[in-house]
Amino acid sequence: MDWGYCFKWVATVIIGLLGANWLFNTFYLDMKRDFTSVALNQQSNIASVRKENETAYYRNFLVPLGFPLITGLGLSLKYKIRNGNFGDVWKAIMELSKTNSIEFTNDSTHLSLAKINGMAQHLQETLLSKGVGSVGIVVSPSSLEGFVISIASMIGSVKSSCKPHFLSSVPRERLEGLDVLVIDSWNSFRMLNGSDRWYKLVIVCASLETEQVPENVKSWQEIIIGHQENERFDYDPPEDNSDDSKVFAYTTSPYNVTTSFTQGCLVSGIASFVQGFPAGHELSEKDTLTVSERLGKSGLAFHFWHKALAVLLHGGSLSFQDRKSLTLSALNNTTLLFIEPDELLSILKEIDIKKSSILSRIGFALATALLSEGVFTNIGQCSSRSFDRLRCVFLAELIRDTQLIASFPKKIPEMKQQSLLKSFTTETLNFMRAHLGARVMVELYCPFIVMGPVCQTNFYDYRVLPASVDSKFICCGPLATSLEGKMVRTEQNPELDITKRQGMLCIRGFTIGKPVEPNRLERAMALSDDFGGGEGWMPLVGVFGLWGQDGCLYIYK
Amino acid sequence: MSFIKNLLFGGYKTSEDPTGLSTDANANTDSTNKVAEPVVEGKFYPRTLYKFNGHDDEKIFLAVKGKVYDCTNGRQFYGPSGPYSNFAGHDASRGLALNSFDLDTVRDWDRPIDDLRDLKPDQLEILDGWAEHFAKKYPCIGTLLPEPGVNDKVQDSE
Repeated sequence: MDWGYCFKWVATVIIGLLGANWLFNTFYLDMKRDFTSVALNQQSNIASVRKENETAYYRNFLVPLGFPLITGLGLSLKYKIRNGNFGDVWKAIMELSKTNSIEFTNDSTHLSLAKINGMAQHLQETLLSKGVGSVGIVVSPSSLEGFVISIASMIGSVKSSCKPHFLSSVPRERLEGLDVLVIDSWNSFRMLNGSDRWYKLVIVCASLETEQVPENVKSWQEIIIGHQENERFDYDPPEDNSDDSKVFAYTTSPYNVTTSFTQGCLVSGIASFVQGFPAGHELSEKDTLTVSERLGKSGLAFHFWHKALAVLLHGGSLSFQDRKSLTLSALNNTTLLFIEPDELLSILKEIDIKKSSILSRIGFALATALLSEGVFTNIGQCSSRSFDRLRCVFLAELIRDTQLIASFPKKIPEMKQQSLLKSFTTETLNFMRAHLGARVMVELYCPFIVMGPVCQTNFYDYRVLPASVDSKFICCGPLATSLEGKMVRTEQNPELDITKRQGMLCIRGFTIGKPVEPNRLERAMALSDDFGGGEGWMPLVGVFGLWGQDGCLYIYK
Repeated sequence: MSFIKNLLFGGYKTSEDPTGLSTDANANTDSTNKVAEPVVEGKFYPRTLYKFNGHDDEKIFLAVKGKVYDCTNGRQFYGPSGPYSNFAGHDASRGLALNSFDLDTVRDWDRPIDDLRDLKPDQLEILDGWAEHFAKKYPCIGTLLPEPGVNDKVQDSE
């Protein structure tokens, strides 16, 4: 054997590989990267000063320090700039509603916006226009009836005194100002056990079973009779902008506390969501947002409105899917998916990866390797037509112990493990990005307290974090653009070092709700005084984490 | 070789530890990843303020009417070779009130803090305008106080 020849051959291969690697790194990866390492490492604007027991203030890098946070839609009214309200949003939606539609969980036909607007305006004019307070909605807004009644009462929030009140369950005691109750079935009606007398009107979203019902009880068919398709929605804002500061909606949690959200919460959240899409990937009329079952249900449904209205505002369509129908085939037209981790996992289980061809396995390996280098590619996408149009998945992580946060306790608890249960590792997230051929953004929600996400990973962030970080933390990305945050030191958790940017999370901004109960509001103000000198800070009690050197929020698992 | 290796063996690149908690985090962190540590809001003496003049420390602090502002973002004005560089690391109240950039308007760190008692009402009004401007434009990071045994002692001897 000619050893010299072998040596030359091996040396040529090694030099070839090294050269290919260098060429690839220099001329391909650096040019193809969506986000430079500098941008990935500076995802927040950080104040240059901090108080002794706090970290500096952090904001999304899209909102410079010294400038206001995202506060609504910036509409013009003559020479004045307005933040906007639901009336403006729905008017703009209807102006663009030529081809888009909505698919509901209980109605597989795609209903036009004109039909929905016609029903909502009919209900608003006939039932909810005069002297009606809140409309208690127990039915899921992902159903036709729930959606239409929600829109009707949202129209009322700017045009009359009525407002939607999203309830987690049928109230067991009388809620002040709740004049209308909307329930899903006659079975639920029977279980009211006489409490239907508390309301001026009870709407049962089912066909009438019996003629003998009290006068204040009406079925869906009864109230919807006489509606007509309507492509127009007229709204003229008042000169004094008073509509922009009105209450938009109430929400009551399963632990029976009520929070109010203003029109500002709605429009700031919509603006923040729209701004989250980078140039070249903006929302358009081609988008269809699919909302999964749990996130479309009454209690949690409060969080889909920003996304849904933003998509409709761009002429896009909506689709609500319940657990049974949320399968691969249901995602055929979906471009944006709003889903919880376990639901996404069950969809991915439908893909039989073991049966995939060698070519697709190589594609997947290439996709994951490129993603971890910061280059997005859909070369590893599963060969399913369902994912062809999918471009972005919003993965909702929920803070579990919101009851503690909503109670505004004086005593801060010690840090507990497992406040977030369903989080994925960053490695799994890239596995999903590669298989779906879509971006996956993790969003952190604080249900019943903050409307919309508290923070959200960047559209272009595909990093795989070290296992030591993934096992301890969930990376939630920078704060939403309508919020700013800080960590505070707590006596009960001395192991969290504020100089290392660790502590309990406090936020302030325009998507945070206000406690309705006077004693809770008082406690909230007292707690805000303790942890922020009363400057509008809201401590998320029990949510402990740290600010990364990259400006992202890392929450302890 | 990392990318080719990952491609051939199905691996992926792991990013640096962004939390900074792992023991070798500093070793792994490249220079672009280092963020300037925020300054703790608090009390400053003329002596401790002096070093933030853009030369000895890259941060630029200056005091106006007893409040200390972080003017690092205004380096083109207050930094070395800027038109107001004399004010950096000092109490700039007198200079701003008199619209003068002269060195005489700022005091050394071992002299008493300027009480501005001799300023005329119109000069005080100008100073108030500047104080408002600074409060709007720059983060306030603390207050300027006389250092016991340093600034008060000199005052006695004067």
